[in-house]
Amino acid sequence: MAERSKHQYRTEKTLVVRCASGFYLLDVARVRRVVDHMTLHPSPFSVRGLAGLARFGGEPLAVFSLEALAVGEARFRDAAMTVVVIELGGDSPQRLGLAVDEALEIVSLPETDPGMAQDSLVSGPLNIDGRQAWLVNIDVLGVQGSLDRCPGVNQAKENN
Amino acid sequence: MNRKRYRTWLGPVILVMAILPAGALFELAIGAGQWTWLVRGYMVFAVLLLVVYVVLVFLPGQRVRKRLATLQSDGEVHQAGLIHVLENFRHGDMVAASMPGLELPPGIRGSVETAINALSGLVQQIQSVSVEVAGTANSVRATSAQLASGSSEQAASVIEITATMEELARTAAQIAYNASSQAEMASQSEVAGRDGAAAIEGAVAGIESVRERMGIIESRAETLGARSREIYQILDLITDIAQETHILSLNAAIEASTAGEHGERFSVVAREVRRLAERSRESVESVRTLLHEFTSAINAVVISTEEGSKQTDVVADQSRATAAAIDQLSAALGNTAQAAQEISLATQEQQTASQEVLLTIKEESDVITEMAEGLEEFTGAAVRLNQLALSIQLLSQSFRLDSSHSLKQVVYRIAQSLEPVYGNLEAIDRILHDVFGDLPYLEMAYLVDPEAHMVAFAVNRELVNKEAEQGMATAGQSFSDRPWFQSAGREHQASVTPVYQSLLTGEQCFTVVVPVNHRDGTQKATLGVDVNVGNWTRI
Repeated sequence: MAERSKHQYRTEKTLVVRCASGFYLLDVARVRRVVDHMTLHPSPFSVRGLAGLARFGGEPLAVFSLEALAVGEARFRDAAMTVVVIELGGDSPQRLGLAVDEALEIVSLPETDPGMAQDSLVSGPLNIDGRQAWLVNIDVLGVQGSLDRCPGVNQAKENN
Repeated sequence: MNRKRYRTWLGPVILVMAILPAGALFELAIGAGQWTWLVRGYMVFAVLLLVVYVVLVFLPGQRVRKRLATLQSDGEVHQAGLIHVLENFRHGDMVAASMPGLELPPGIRGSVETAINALSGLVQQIQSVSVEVAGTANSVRATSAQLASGSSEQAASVIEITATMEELARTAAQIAYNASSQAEMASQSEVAGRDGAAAIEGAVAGIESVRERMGIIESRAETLGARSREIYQILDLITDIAQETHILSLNAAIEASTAGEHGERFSVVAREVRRLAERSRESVESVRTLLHEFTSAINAVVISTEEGSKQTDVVADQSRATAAAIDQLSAALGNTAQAAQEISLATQEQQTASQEVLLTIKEESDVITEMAEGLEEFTGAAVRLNQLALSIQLLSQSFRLDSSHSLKQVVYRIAQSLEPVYGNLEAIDRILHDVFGDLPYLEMAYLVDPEAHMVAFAVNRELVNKEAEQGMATAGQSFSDRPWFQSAGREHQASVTPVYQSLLTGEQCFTVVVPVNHRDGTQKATLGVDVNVGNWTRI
């Protein structure tokens, strides 16, 4: 795990997802499962970017909107949508759902440095088959208070 | 009578009585020889005879001669008076003829007075009758002129009526022709209407068939729509399967990637599966697109069919309404044809009646024209009668009567009023101007001296305007060449001229002239008046 964390910005295979018109790259090593038409339940908590709660593997799963986290847009979401279940880093791995519009494919990343800070949620963009795609730093989501470092969350706070 | 005879044979008787006794005494004396006795007796007897002669013959003869001289003188006076009377008769001067100073035998005077009175009465009656005739002729002329004018207007009206009736007849003929044509056209239209109704019924049947077919098409299109929806459901199912396959392939690839090198093959399979799923989804999208187009086309067909069906219903309803209208129109055309036929017959009868009326009006026009011509002749006759009456009046005015209707007498009186003031131009002028008050029918009065030079004149302003007066008469103007002056100067009598056109008024007038005499009877001037005929006859 420690070995993987050294290459967390140079992963070879990533899952390409689409949120609205934006494309994002998720490290396949951190992706546990892609669930289509996952049923989301409204969350009683008021957490920025939280799309709802779901059940995965018999356990509750917090599902965040990747788009809301990345760009701060809070679009209407269907009750059932595609959720990418990821595992956060750390001693006690936690699972988190990222609600996306569509999970497209698994691609290999080019050997390029996106040039982003390590505490930033997204970095890039990278040119993937002619598309501009943003690399998502999943580890940022596993740190306490990391949501505050998400650009979309910060932007939402500023708007409020 | 017996006395005259006695005076005639008394002288010879005395002579015979003297001769017979003288002879007897001479025989006795011869026989007796007593010549002395004889001479003495004869002397006594001769004296006696002489006395007897003087007493019985000479003295009565003297008285007779004196009586004859007296009678001859009286005869000459009477002759002069009679000549005067006859001369005045010749000039028509009844007033002068009946002057009381004339010496006439009582019997002749009575006869002359009787004749003058009778002639004056006759002339006055002629004047009165001629005035009445002139008035009546004027009335007749005016009436006949009005009648002629009315007849002319009536003739003009008849001509207009004739033209109108001819136009009416032509119009009736045109209407009859048009009505006949309209009847024929209506009959043809009725037939065409029946054909049209049949065609409309056929069209309605065709439309019903089309609507049925469109219903079948609509039903089949709805079936196709239902099939399309089923295909959509299948496509959705395929899409879901492809999506799930896609997700499965992704998860498989994820799992394979976590398996390291061992999962490489699996990841290839997963990638292929994902590609298949992708292709399936793409194919489904293509099919969905095609199906969407097909569905759209089906929907368009359904909509078009529904609209077509509605339109067909509308067309069918309209066709039925059209068929009903054509039926009504056909019936109306039938009625129209019948009515037009009746109109044609009626207008033909009207045309015939109009022609008859036209003939009647033409006859009436001829009658009116003849009447107008007759009235014109009648008017001409009235005018001639008026002229004759005027001529009679003028002839009667040639007599001077002791009447206010006698122009000569009237002018004589004016002349008599001028005689005392002759030489006083102011008085003459005043008298001349005053005459128009009593004699308004006079246009002009003037006085000329024996040399025919104008002494004074006056113009009636009521009849003559000032412009016409200018230059017509001036003081000193000579009238010696005028017939009326020559007549008055030659005859020393009043005269009346024939009618002529007045230079002052342009109307008919005549002139009455009378001499203005001295006390010794010599003429010292001539008075003339111009009488306006129209105003005079009215008065």
